[in-house]
Amino acid sequence: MPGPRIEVEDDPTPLVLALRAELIERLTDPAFAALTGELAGTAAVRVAESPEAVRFSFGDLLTVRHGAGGAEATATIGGRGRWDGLAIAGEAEHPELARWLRALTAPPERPWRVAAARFWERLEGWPGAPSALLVVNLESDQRERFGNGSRAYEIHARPEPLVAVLEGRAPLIAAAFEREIYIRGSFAEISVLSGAALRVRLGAGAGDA
Amino acid sequence: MPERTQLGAWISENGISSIRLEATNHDGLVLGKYLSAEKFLGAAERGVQIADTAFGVDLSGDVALGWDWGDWRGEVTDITAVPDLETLTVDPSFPGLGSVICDFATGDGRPVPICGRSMLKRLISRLADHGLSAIVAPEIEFSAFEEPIQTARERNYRGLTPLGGPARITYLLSRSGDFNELMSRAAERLTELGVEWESWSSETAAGQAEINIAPTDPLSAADHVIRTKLALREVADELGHSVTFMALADEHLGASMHVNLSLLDGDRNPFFAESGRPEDAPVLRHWIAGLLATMPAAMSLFSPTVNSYRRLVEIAGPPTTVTWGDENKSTAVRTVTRSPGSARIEHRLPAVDCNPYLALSAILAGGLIGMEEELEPPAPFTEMAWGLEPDAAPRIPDSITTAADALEADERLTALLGAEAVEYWLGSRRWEWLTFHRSGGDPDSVSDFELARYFEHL
Repeated sequence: MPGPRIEVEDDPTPLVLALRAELIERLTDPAFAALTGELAGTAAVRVAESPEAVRFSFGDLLTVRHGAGGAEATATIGGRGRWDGLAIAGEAEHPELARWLRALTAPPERPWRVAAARFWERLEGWPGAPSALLVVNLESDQRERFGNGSRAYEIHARPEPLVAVLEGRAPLIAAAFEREIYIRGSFAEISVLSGAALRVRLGAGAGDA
Repeated sequence: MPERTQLGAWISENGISSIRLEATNHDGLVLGKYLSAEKFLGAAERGVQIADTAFGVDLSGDVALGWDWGDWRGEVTDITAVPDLETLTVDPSFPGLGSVICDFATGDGRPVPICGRSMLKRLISRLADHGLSAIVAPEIEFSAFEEPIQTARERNYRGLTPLGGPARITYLLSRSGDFNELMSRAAERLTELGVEWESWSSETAAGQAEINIAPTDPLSAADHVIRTKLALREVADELGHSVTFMALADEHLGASMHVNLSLLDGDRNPFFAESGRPEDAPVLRHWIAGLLATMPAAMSLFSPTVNSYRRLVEIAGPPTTVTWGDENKSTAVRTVTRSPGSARIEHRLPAVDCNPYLALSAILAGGLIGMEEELEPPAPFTEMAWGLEPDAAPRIPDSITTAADALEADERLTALLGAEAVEYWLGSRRWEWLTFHRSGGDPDSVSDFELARYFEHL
């Protein structure tokens, strides 16, 4: 993997795990990796209206720990786990850190088919998982089916909420409450699907959560 | 307790008009219904239907998600609360009210895998297969405040006044009368309910007390913990005060549920050796070894919430290492073995916010593993087991996630507790962790989220 070696605190918080997973993926982009390698200091990501925060300290190692204390630049992310578009604190003094934070927290949206395939990878074979999954893009009426089972769990939505759910950035059940997605399957499968979404979001080492 | 066929007469003789069913879910929440006396007569036979959401929502009432629920849950299907008539009692503080403790059964009549009371019964039975029975005496610590619960809510459970004054002195008798009134009334109420208690005293933190339940069988001991917590809340409410069983409501209020346990082999206590030395009692040695071997995993059941782990501080908190010692309260398992009548272990790890059925199940399972595998313990720890350098003794898991990981890795304990139960428990603990962080929990200090979630109901 290009870029610096990443060290995460013991017993990391969910946001530390999520941003580590995001970081690892972003570092596959040579431009982002190069930018990361040039940085010094400390940057942070904070969740709006919450104590949840993560700070990145740049040096020989890129350390990722919970909390935003001591950060020179801080970006706030909103409900969908993306930069909220408001000013990044400390940007004037540390424009490179701000640029890096923006790149980390506002990456290009992943295509829905790619998100669906990743989601299925994290769902298939888990206890209680459906034997097939049907994902329908309501904007284009395109559909993707995964697995060979005769009965598929179905998720129908427009691309933006669909990707947010499949990436674990928006809780599946909340999106269903809000009628942003439509689902067909059993109640118990919602639990198992929610676990898969979290594994996508939190990456390796996230257990069965 | 009345036989099923005598229930009608019992209801009539005691002037019972309603019965409160009391059933404890995995989180330790006491759930139930009030039934008319007539309805109860039928329910005593068949049980009462309750939605499976009794095990499906978290401590804030949100749907808990992320794991395989098992085949006993469905599209908000019904499970059954089955009254245990051995626990049926009159509640003199509420004329006309009886109460009964229930087990949870699935729709087809099996015990719900994660029903702690059913799990505990199964382990007691396994112990009986060895010709042994256990005697358990829990110690319940809690904190009381001058303000009523309504005021506590208005203040987000912060800035409350410790009942009985600000002194932080254990056994202190000169606390003000309001403290003594609460405890005396609570003790009376426990006696009325058939909960035998041995003593109560002032504890280390301001407003903190401990009540010691009299030795009894493990199932009754856990039932008594549940009823003691309910009774204390009810008495505090009557007197215009509030109490909490949070493990750490603020930095001075760590609260545990120490568990004293001995065994009986007929009339003989196998934890006693004539020498008075614990090492000379083989059954005790094996139990200690089993408890230590399963301790990291069992910690998940001893400390169920993120808040539970906040009390793990050196010297001022519970033990922090996987150690045992004779008459050594700094170790996780203390032995007291001077006389056959009192030879016992004191397990010093459970937090008071634990589900007592699950915590006692973990203790029995650990002891059974040690005994069945004839495990041998390390040497007793003879120094203070707090404040040690990192490698001096194995550390107890210090977070909800590391304890869950330890439980997931412990195949022996999982086998005894039941694989389905452990899977459900692990899923619910990881949900608790996730919800804590995503809902405003602060890893570094007691947060409003914790106070709102735990103060009133655990």
